[in-house]
Amino acid sequence: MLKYVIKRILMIIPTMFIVTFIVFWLINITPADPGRIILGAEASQDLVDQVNHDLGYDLPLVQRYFKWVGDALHGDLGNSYYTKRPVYDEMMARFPYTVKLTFLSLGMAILIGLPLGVLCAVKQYSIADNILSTLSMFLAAMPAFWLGLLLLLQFSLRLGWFPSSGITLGWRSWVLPTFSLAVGYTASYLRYTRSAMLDTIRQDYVRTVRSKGCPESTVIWKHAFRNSMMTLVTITGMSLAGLLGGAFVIESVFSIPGLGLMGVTAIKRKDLPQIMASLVMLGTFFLVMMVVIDILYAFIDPRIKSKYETPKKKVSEKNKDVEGSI
Amino acid sequence: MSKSANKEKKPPELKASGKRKKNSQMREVWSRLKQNKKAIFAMAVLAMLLIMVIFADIIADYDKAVDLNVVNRLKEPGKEFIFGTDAFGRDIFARIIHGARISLLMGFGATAISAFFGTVIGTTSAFMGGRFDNVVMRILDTWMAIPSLLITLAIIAGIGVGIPQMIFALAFGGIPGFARILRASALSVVNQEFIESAKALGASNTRIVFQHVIPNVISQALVQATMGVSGTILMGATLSFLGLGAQPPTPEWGAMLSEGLSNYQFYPHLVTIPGIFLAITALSINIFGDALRDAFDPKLKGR
Amino acid sequence: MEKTSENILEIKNLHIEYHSDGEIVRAVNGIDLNIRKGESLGLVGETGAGKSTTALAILNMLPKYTAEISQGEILLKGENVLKMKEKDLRKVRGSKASIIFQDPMTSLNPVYKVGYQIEEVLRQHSTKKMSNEEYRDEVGRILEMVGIPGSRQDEYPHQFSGGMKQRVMIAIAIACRPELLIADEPTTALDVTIQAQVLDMMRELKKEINSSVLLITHDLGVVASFCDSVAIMYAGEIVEYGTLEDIFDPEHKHHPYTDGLFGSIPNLIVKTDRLNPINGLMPDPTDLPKGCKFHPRCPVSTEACRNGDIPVAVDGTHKIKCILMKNMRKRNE
Repeated sequence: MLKYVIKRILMIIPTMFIVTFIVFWLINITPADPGRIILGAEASQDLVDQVNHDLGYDLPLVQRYFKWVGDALHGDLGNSYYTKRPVYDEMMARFPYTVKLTFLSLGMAILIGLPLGVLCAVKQYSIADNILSTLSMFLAAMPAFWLGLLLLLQFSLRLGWFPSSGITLGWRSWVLPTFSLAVGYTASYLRYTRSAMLDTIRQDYVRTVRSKGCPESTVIWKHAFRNSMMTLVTITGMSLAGLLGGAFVIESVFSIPGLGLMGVTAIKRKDLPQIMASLVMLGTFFLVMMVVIDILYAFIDPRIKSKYETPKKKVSEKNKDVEGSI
Repeated sequence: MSKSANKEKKPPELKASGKRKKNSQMREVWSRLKQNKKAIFAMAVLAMLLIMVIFADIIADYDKAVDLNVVNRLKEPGKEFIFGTDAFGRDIFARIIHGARISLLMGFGATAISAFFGTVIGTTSAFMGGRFDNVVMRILDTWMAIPSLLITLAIIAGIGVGIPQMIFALAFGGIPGFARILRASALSVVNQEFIESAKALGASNTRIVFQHVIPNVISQALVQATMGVSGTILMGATLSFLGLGAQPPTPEWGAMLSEGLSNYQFYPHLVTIPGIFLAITALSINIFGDALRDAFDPKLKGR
Repeated sequence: MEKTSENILEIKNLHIEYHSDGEIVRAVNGIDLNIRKGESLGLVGETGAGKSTTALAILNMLPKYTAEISQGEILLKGENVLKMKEKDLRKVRGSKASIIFQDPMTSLNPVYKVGYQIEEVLRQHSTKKMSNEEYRDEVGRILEMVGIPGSRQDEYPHQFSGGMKQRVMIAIAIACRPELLIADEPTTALDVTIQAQVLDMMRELKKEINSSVLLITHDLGVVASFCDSVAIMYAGEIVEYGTLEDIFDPEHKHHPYTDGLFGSIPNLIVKTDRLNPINGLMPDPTDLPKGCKFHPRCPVSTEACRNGDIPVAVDGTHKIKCILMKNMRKRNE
């Protein structure tokens, strides 16, 4: 098991290289002129060229990439073209807000969506199932930022219950952003849970448990839900990418000084070091979370776990099976 | 047990010819769709949107959607302007109509591009198998390991903001998802006898993939694409809202929402109306996608 | 056979329908069955005849929304399981009557150790308090009964072969020494050599715990080697019912369907050039034929078979639901 965990963690490194290179390549796909951005329109071309040279901007892309990697490993992500401050410091100051917003919303989506999804599956075709399924369909189609705007209008601008922007008012600052981001995901979480549970509830082994005379709670939670968990963990991982993206947008709506706000502003200004930093941080966070999910997955599914505990078994074949079924 | 008995009565499908099967299947799918009330609602909404898109210029003047008109600024919805006007005096109704064009074009365009490339990559990979398949899967895995938003934002950062750039960026991010799913369903097709017989008859690989494999996985691609369209439309609106997509004064729903921000406290129609259109469009496409999936594969009904 | 007190299971005039997409599937159409203490009854029929539906109905485990038991009663030791509350039903399932399902590959929960899955049924029904250690010992003992080393209780289902999994399923079913064991095609999914082993083992176990068995199968060979009496099921009806001798004796009269079943298996004693399978397919259960359900496929059907009720001809323990019983041919003539 430990071997698996270590292997999975080490695999982040090559992936990180690929991801950072792709991002680096993409954002430099059209030639940028950082000297001009830094010095402004008035500056002479000589000065601009000088700055570009100092930044290493006259070097080929690959060389520049490795320079960036070398600096990044030392915690130097360059300085913003606009604020002139080190990007690393700014990123580290902003990152926790994005993480907080993401996890608060994920928490809400799981805490509400999961039990309701199970309820819908267990009482399929009931009134509750019909109402919740229809409602979740509507909510899932609602763009998060639009919901955010509506909530902002009603509860902040009109009723004044919550602040309309910033994070200075403690928990009250987080209610509306979390809610706007989470509603859509709660709805899709409900739908996924329902569908996963409907799948497992019809499995033969669930019928076996019923035939043993076990109470319905055991049948549902211990057996059906336990097996749905594998699907749900995968789905949680997938939702996380969406949630992170959503957080980028919601930060703009509620002016939360997170990574997203920084990234979006930077893209509009073509502030390359900041773009690079925010996108790489987003990617890193996502990759790390995927590893956590994979490891969780191995703990939940004994078929994966035992594969790594009894080393001298045919691993590759089974591995394929399990992955194919996800 | 009753289920298996039910299955037996169905005539065996004509698998030898991709086309014949497809036609009869399409008819069956259509008759199932017609019975689904939700699907009819969704199709009606989508048909209306389609009419809006096709006849946008007849329904509303494009000039009204983009030209400044200080006299009419910030009118509430009423007789003269049924959806009111915005801070520049532009007719919101006209902007919505012409915005539908952009939103749908973007959603369908980007999804169609990624569906096409995804389908070709996925089916080819499944058909070729072996090392080719392995390499393709590796690339797709890495591609998928990067959140599509990251790719989209990076591309936009690289090639700049605007509608064509956004379509390209959205399409690019969607390819690996399609490729993976289509590869899985193509795998179940490529091992069947009619592929063998096509090979025995000396058909070229390209011909087999396009003539035999793809027609048999097209339903899967269609369902997947439908589901993808609503996500792409919402994503496009989001990008425009952030200022990374359609630029003013282009009438785009997401951009309209962001323009409405400065005045919406007192003129809420500036954000409610574009938002409602966005949500209804996404909702109907989702419902239609669900219904389409059920119609193609009745076993999944109610999931 | 008629005395109620001896009967472990009595099924009276059972009708079961499935509802799906506005269609009504008539899966079981008025069947009567009795199983005495210690008796093994074989329920034989094609796929889709309603055998598994009947089996699930005995434990009242049919899917709630789609299946409807429209008529009849099922008495387990004199109590109607169809009228029982969920709480009382749970006391029956796994303890008084238990079931072995057809497909061992999918019938065990992949995420729990097999020991746990056996222990679960013990814990559910045990009357005395046992420590965890005692449970372990008991689970080990039960595993040994089905020929699996007790130490393997800490393994997961994916570490077992198909035959071993079915043994585990049987272990679960016999753990509480049920009075009625329902085996729904217990060997169909297994290799032929494993089939024989599993059947032998079941025969031993049946003696050991002295339970009655309802064996559902489409394999007449299995029936011949295991059962005391046989019911032949077709399109939700029992067309022929009798002791093993009644059914397997070629000198007796038989339902044409039974003849067809025997005609479609190779016979080592009587030399035939080719097998005589039954023509046609099972009728569509949403649209069953009037009169005798078998008449569209029956080689000797008459006009009278198409309409009206079909009487049951009785000869001692032997019952045949066929209008032609009076002038039936003997098999192999």
